[in-house]
Amino acid sequence: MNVFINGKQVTIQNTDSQHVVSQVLTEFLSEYQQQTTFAVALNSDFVGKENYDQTPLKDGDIIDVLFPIQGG
Amino acid sequence: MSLTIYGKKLDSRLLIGSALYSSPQVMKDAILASGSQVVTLSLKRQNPVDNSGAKIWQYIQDIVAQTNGFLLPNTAGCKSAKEAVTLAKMSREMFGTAWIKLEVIGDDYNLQPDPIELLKATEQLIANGFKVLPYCTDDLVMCQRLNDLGCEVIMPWASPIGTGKGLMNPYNLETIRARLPNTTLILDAGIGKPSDACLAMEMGYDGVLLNSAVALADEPAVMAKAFALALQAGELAYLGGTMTQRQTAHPSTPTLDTPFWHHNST
Repeated sequence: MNVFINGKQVTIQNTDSQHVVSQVLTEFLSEYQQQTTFAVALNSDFVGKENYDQTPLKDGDIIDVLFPIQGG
Repeated sequence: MSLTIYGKKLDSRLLIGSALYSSPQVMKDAILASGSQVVTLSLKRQNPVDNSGAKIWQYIQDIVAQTNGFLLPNTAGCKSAKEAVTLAKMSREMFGTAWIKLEVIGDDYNLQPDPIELLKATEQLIANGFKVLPYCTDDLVMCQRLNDLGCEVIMPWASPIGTGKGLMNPYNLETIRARLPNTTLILDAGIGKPSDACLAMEMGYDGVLLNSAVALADEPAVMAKAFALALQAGELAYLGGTMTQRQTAHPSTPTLDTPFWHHNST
């Protein structure tokens, strides 16, 4: 199954168990070693930290992981 | 000289942005020089190769700690109520604040707020417990509707974001002040010079939010200080009560008992 994280396609091997947001997030965030402050949206809806382990993913899902930046 | 935003008392009436500075250190120096205790910021995707966001975030945290200040996240870039509500929820979790500078843009050319989507988003966010600071145009009825929805703070524009054109329509801004005497009004966007900020304060505005005017100055920290002083001057002028304009000249020196020089004409 394929999902998109910040516009980048990520392939997840199909298994019997349900895939959840926290699985793909862990790998994605390893690229951002200095960043621990972030928030997540799934298909343009906010997903709170407490729900990462319970929010299921399906093929084609779009995940946005956002970080603090400067703003006016 | 204090300003209260959703129950938080601030020593400065200036709210300042964290964008467009030439470096994080220049940003920090300018914000500290401004005396502001409210720093705006945003959230976006980030390229892992360019980890600049992490550095900026560290600097902003340092500034807030040094000033006993507050973060004011924005929803810049959103074009619909749905996008803005999602971004606001993400920012509340990320920054640990219910404050949100609500921007919902309706036109790419002048970045003018979309009044319909703005009202929709405001209603939903207030229902979700947010403390909304909506960025809007200088439309009186729009400001009244935002006030009716429960916004304690309303932020009409002076002119479009980043233009530095100052107060495009002083009459509209004065009317909003007159019609919403008990609402905290902060002039947001389009400020170019300290005199613009001073004028807003002379009108009785409660504060000013700006970014480009300081960040794009030759010496941002110097300009930040100039803005701080301009706001103080404008507030004192408002409290002092400016004189009423008159159509004709009036001598300021007493004319009673004028000596000899008027007698020479006969």
